[in-house]
Amino acid sequence: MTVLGMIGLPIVCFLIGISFMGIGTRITARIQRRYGPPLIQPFIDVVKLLSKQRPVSYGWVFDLGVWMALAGAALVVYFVPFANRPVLSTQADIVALMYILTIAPLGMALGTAQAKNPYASIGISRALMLMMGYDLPLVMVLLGIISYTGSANFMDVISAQAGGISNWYIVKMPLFAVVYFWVMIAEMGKHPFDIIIAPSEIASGPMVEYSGKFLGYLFIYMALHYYTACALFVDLFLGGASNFVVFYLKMLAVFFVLIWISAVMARTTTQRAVKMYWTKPVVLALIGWLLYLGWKVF
Amino acid sequence: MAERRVELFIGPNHPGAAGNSCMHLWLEGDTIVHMEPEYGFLHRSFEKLMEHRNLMQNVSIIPRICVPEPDINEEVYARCIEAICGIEVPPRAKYIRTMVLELARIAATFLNLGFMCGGLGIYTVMNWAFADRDFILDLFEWLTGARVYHIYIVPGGVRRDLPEGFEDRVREVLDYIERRLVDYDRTFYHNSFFVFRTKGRFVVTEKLAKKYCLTGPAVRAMGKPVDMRKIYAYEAYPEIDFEVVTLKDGDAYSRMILKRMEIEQSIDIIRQVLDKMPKGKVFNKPINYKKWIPPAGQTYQVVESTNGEYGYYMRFDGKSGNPYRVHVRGPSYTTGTAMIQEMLKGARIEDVPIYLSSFGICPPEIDR
Repeated sequence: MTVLGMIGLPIVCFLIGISFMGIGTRITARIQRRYGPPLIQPFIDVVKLLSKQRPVSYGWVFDLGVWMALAGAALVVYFVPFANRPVLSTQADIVALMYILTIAPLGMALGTAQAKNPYASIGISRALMLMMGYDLPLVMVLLGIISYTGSANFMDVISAQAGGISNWYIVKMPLFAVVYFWVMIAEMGKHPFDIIIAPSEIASGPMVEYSGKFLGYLFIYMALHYYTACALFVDLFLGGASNFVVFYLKMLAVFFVLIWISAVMARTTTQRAVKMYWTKPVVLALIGWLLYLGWKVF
Repeated sequence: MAERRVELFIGPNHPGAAGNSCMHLWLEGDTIVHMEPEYGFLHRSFEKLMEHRNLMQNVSIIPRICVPEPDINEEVYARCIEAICGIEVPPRAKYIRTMVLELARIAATFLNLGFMCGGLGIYTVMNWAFADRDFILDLFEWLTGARVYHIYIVPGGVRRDLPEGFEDRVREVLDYIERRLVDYDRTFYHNSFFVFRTKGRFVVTEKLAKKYCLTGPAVRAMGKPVDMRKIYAYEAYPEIDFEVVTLKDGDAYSRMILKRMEIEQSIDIIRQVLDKMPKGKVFNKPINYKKWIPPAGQTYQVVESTNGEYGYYMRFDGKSGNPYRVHVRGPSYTTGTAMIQEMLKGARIEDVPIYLSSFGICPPEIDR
């Protein structure tokens, strides 16, 4: 990977993510019998926000939190193969990913802690609580895939799925795919797990103190987050993609399904979300372990 | 343990609150340990304003008291004046009033449904409900020239007769709403998240209902057939065939389901009204409004609003054309001030929008 590629990758991923945001808003609007904003609207929003002056800050930790969230989201991008091209491939990049995924929410927590806004504090405590809930099934799925493939390298996982749809892990291990998709909804903060922002309860939670440029950075963070979640699903379960167009279309398909589901869901509560993640997906993942890995052990 | 408490405000400037009020919460974790509702953001003082205006000038003030459902104010005000001055209302006007009230009930129920969905986060159904309400507002615009504050029901009847083709359009809209209710059932009323969030929450018991003088859906959902349309039999309701809908549980879920069932009931009532509507004039113009001095006396008239008994007390001294005293008593008065403090204690933040929507708290009714 050239230096140019290293710099360009987060930008491309951001553009993919922001296009998803636009498409998602449009699909949701159609389901809600509205026309919705133009596809390019989220991009316009980001440009507008970034052109604003530096907002009022509560101290350097507040600023650092935003940067940490943004950097965390950008760092994840390097560990997820982009259209079958490894970026920062190591022997165990899936394991590294498990750690790096937690950086961004922790950055948000740091920033909001300095702001001392009760809405933000409650929002971020909910976010961390939710993360605690979905991390267990996520790790179980990733460990299951690592054990099944016999490698913790993303490229090995993708090459193990080569040779047609019947080799894809979504066909071979549908239970893991379901659990990961379940986790993905919470990761992206979509309904029913949008308890973090919950406008009618805590007025958009962690975002409440951020405005101007910082809100623009959080938009970029969200766009990168959308990309990462969808790209992970494509790489782990849909056999990766040999070129950019196929990669984009596969991610879009995943995102479509997610939007359709989340459009008709109500917001759940924090306790129920955590309890639910520690029971149903965990049980499904355990069954998956028995079905897909049991024969390897015995 | 006061230092562990977090103070939090829901409203008046809050994406989830309808404005005009503020819920001041003291939290421990996510649990509410104490709360105080704060009203007074609507600096209008309707009751005092009305004491300084004559009877017809007041007609333009009263719809503002309840924003989601303004027609009940016009209705109950008109009935107060008619009772004091002994004005007869033509039979056709009574039927038209009944139709307007029921259409307004459907519109208000959709708005309430929208607020509930907003609180629960089902934005799809919220947008549907607001859009479907617009069909009824279109009808009102055609009939009265205004979408929300119609100023249509006036003392002595209604301002004008139905336009040509209006009845057919009403039937079309009713058919459309009936078809749409199936979609609402599938996406909202049978939605497991809605059931989980509302079932068993904020249960109204008989003791509580007596303590806080509850009426309307709050007690009908508990099993008591209390309906002002039956008890006071005003306008054309005695000639309409309908049964009071009741449910058993008395929780937030039952109240929402009951309001949904009452949409069907309202559709049925409007169809009957359209079938039975007599011909004739619609307005008995009393006398010269400017010189109109009602006789001394007092009255209390009620109407069944979407949330229960909605009453006006009016008193005239016989010397002036302005009312001597007007008092508005809306159903939100107890549910939004005293009962909310009792019921929200021990609840969680996410339950606040459910409480507000399931009882249909309308801040202007309290802050009048």
